[in-house]
Amino acid sequence: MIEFPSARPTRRQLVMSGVAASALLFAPAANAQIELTDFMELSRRLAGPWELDADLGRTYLRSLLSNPRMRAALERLIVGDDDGSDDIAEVKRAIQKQWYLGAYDDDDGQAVATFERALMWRALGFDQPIGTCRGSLGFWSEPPAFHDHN
Amino acid sequence: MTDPDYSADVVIVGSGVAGALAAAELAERGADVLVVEAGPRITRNDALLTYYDHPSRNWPSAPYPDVPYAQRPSYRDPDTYVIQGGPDRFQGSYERLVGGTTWHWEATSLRFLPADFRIRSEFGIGVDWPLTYEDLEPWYGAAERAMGIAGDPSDDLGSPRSEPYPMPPMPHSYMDRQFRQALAGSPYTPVTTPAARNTEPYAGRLACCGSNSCTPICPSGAKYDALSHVEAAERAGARVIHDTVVYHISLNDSRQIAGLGFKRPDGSEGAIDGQVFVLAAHALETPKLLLMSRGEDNPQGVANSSGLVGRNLMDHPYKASWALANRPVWPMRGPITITSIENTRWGDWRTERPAYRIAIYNLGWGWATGAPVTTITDFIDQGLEGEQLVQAIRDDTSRQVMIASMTEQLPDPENRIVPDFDQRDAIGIPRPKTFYRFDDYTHRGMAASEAAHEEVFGLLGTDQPRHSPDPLAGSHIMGTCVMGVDPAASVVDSDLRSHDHPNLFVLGSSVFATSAAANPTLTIAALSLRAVQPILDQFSQ
Repeated sequence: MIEFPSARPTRRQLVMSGVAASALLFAPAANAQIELTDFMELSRRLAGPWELDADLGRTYLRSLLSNPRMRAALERLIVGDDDGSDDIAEVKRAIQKQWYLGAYDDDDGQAVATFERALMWRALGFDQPIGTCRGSLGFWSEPPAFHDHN
Repeated sequence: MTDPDYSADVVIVGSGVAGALAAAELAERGADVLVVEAGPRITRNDALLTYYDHPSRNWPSAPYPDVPYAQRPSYRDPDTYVIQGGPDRFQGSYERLVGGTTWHWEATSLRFLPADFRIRSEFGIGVDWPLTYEDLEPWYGAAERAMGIAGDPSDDLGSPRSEPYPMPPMPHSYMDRQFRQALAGSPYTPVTTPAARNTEPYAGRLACCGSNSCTPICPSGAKYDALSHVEAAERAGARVIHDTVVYHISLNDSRQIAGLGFKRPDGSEGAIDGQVFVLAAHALETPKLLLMSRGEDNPQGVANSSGLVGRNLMDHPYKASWALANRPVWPMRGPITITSIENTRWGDWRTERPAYRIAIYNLGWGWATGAPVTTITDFIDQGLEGEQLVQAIRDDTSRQVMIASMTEQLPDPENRIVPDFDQRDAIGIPRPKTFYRFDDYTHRGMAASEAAHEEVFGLLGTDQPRHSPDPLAGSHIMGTCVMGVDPAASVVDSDLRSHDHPNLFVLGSSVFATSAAANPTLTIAALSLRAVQPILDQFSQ
């Protein structure tokens, strides 16, 4: 076993949003309603060709809405106002990281919403996540079946 | 003296592989055994749930509790527990809970080479052990049967065997096959690493199901951990108590060990007496306990007439390298390492630079960079979306390769661990302080390893490799209660009995005279099993 002191994902890499969720205390009143269905449609466009779980979407949307800056950017993005600004880019990245890592920001830092339904496993081509029983002895001797290569 | 809270024929401090194996064997042979563990007792399910809910899952300690009364080096803050006296940082880690560090170990189960036991005679470096490979060979076999080792009998690992491996070798991964084809005919001979990982049902545990998480946790128990022998000991009548931190060893008038003092998480204290005492608390906690146990008649601590308790602190310094293969090799499927290069462990050049072994890791860049999480977040931060993002992730992660060389570190009395009486933990026990330096021998090993990695990756076909800059910790902590023949130059004899106190034994890698270039656990296990008869003889007297 090797100890890599620097191999942990940094806060910068993991962070979903630039401002702590507790900034909600200073949030202005919401100007627009963001429907879950709109958020799910946006998520599908950003995250890739996957079926997305609405319960997870609700958790991720709630986390984003609790942050005023992310909320404002999300309201604009939902109505198609993608001007390429830093705020818009940030909320897009936050949504992608939520779905791929199965995690979101909360008042205490980062919280795990799901382990097994994080999209990273599917993106990696795994039927089962690392850390679970993934097949019978020796399945690893051949490339994964989804991909044709030699 | 007040009545003790516990009493037993044999009292074993520590429930990792060293203590648990001895406890099971002693209890099965009729001894009344008490195992005392500082940390908590958890189930595999507890650990898995913690792991699944952890934001940095590939960290070795991620699934395990971090309790204030039995701290260990913490991933959250490496300086929380061990105090660094410098000049180099000592970063080896371990677990403190029932089952010990085998919860997160890699399961690599190599025997040492015959020459590893006599490097002073052979190469003019280090010291010779007080026993030979031939002395230990039957016990290696016994340890392999006890733990369940899978290996390939056709591989020449340089360590003669008198009995077969208990299980057939682990099937190679697709990535292993790519390395093997590339290295055929080269100076680097790939072999199947002997490992305590079931390739068929063995000892009530299932065959490996390819979780790719052996470190930090095997979800099925196919990988051996010491809980197997904790439970075997209990079935044979041993008692195992946990959350019980031994902090003092007392002597009687005839300089035998009289008893132990312990603390509980709530600060309460108690006493244990027995006939024979066995310290198996790993190579920082065991010497710390001996050195803390000072008295008027033993101001240097217990078992320390040589002054060597805590000295000769060793680890296996690592050089790791990673690259992108020029084709998909599909890592992260199957055990975390299956194939290694072992023929770099022997050669006359050991006079000048360390023996080393190269493990081919099946983890992508996980340990090196935090992949796959960091790979994915990097692509997201680059602005990739949708199908483009998925293709980028798949293309990159399918080609990630990492290899690492584990090098022999020589014993140096100035490398040491001491209790820091001025800096104490949550229940008032001194924290360990290390003084540690990588010498030129180690640095030459790092350079040779890096050159070897460039060659290996060149044969495989990769982009320009990245290399870890400093020696990394192997977390194979060794040497701090060195064994030897001369009581003035060692702490225990070849039976692992204290030269100073006949009813005190020390198990675990703290007794290693040198570190070799092999993962220590199988040798720890063999030495523990070999010590059982002397322990039985002692309490039968």
